[in-house]
Amino acid sequence: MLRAVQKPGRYVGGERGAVHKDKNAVKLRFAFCFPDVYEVGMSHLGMKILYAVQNAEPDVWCERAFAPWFDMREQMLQYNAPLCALESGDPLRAFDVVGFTLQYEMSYTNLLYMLDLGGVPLLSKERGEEDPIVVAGGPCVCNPEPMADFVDLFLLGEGEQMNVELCRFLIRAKEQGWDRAKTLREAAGIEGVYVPALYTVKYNKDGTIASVTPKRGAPMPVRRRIVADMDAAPFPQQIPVPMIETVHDRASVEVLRGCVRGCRFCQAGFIYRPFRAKRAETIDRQARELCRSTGFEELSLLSLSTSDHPEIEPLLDRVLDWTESGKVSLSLPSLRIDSFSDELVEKISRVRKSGLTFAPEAGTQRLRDVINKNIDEEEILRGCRTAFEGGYTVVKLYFMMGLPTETDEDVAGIAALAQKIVDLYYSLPTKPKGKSVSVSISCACFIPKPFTPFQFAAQDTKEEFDRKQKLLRESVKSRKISVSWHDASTSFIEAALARGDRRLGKVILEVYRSGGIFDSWDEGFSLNRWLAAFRKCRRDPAFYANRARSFEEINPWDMFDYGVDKQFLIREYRRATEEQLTTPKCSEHCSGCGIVKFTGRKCFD
Amino acid sequence: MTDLRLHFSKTFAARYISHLDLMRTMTRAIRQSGLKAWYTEGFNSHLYLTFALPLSLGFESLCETCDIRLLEEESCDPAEVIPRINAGLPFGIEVFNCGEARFKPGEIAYARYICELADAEFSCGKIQDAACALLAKSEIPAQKKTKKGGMRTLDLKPLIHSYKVYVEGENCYIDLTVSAASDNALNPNLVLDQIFEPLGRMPDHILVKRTQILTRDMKNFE
Repeated sequence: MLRAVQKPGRYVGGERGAVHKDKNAVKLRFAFCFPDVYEVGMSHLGMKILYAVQNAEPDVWCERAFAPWFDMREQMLQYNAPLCALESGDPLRAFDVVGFTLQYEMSYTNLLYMLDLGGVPLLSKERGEEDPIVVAGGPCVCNPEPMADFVDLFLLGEGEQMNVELCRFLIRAKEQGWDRAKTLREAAGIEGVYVPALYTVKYNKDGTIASVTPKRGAPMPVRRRIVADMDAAPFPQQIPVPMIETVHDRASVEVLRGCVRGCRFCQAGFIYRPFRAKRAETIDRQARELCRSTGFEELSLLSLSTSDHPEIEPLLDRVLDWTESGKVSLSLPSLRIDSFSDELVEKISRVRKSGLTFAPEAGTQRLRDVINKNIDEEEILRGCRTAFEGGYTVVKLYFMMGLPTETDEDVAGIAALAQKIVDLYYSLPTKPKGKSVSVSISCACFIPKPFTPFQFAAQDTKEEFDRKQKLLRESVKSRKISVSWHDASTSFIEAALARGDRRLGKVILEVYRSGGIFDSWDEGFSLNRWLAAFRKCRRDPAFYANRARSFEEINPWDMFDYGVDKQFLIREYRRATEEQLTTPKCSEHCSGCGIVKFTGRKCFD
Repeated sequence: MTDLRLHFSKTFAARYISHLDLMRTMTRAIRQSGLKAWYTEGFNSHLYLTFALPLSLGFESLCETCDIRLLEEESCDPAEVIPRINAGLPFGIEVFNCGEARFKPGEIAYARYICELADAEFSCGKIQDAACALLAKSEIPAQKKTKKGGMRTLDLKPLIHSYKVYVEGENCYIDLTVSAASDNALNPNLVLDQIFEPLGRMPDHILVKRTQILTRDMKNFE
């Protein structure tokens, strides 16, 4: 089979750092599945952490599986070969647990695809005593409802402790000889575990949710899990080192979790609260160990906003101290433009000068205030000036289109801001000699997400997005500025799934049955296939994507407690429409989001 | 600085690691070994590595080489170097020897491949007959892709130094020694394609293993 496919290295395993155990000597076998290709899944830090955490249990063997690309699928179907985990080469159906991480909604069909290829019945209710328990975690499960038909239990929140507790629980359940129904019922007692079969949802005539009722003492709301102490949280010293090039082919260390900012569109900024930074010392030690054990040539310090680390400069000094001599290049994704100081430029430029990426998100000050971005134009231009003076000539800017209250003026403002940056470059006497500037605008379509203040907002229609994208293209006058944008039809489906309810399970199944896989790829996505499936199941994607929701409406995710109050989200939504900022940083002023009540302790000393 | 030639094998699943990925893998293995090796000094400084004769994707090999440069202070003792590098290599890639480079890559003239073949439908005898019939010809014209994307006809016969065809157990084996000079190397896949053309398709099982890299005087490339 492997002779006939592109990049066979995706399918062979055998990487150094992969964990092999004797399958007859362990009590629980866990197949950790990433519903995308190997190169994407192997770039994901969370999977590596949980792989290490679960394998640290001597009687648990956690293996990996990824979605085979189209060419490999053809081969597997031809030879009737099931999808197997990389370590043991055993099919998914042979495992006790098949676990997925749901990082983006467009990977939902791939969960079905992997189960199907792995020989596991797709519907939870069709699985028997011999079938694996199918579990799923990751950011998307803050609204897991569209996947409720396929997943036996969801793991809400951070997995470092919860996954181990689940494994230990399932070993006990096996030893007790519990059947599947009892096992799932009892599992609902683990904090963070949500078993969808234990809840009944009723609907109003207008299609909105009337009530959600737990059965058999299942918890309501279901609380998400968090790790209290990031310095004590397990972090792998060794990880499987891929042999083929992955998307993020480098050692990654998480520097902090949560975010102090509160940008109103950003789901990650709310569902990962509270803000918890690792100490510089911890990060430095973990990064050094990981680089040593893997031999990676590049190190990335990851977080939602790395420059918000309270010890960012001492941290960089510490890390640069050994990365430079060890020929490791350092990358810092997610830098805020207002943190881009001369000192920071000097430090990161010592390694390698590539392009810089900033995210102003909106083109005008009015709209940046609506989203609580807390960056003004002066700061953007100052950040760019610092970059240009530091020798950078390529700047990439991220924007979002279709944000609540957006007008044509805001769209044109994106082009105007890019033009100001180009003009700034040419006005600088200190600009790099003989070099031209390049400003690229990357424009995503705004998608309202659960647990954000904008969860109540309607998404723009595809027609509106198309019109605005055309307007933006026409507003750009300089050839130094390039514009790229996301496909509005993918964003439309993503929006429907993000705020969908459990009735969408039928749609997802229908899309899969009619050939839909790899929906996050141009090679896989088909708007027509999705629309046909929605029609066939008598559901309207616009009901989920393009409808503004009242504050009183019961949302499918209202039954989950992620620590952020709905009242806070309502307050924030109102402030947004009034163009009011809330707080530059919650470390300076608490905005009262509810997380303190949730954790029972202050976020900052 | 000391030039050191690593001799390694590439077998099992590792045969699906491409040449580019092999370079990345070897770089990381040497980096994690902690051995102080030389980096190039250009704009994009990288660890200096030279592979004498790239191996086709899907082939196994018992005789690959990779040259590195160690800084003065490093020991070149194989007993120390080999385990440190192997600790960083994936399953299927294993350094089994290292030492001074006796020959330059330009001195490579031949490579020996053993092709293991089997098929559910074609018997070993049938495969053997097809192989012998082809290899006995005085001319073996074949179509070869040129770098520009076109096709040209090439006579494989002068590129085949020697061969032996035999059946053992369930498999038919073709032991082929072919030209591997940099300007005139023959990929054994081209020979296999010609052998199976009259049979209409390739066999189910093909495993090509490179067993020797040789100089013009038929000395092992060391």
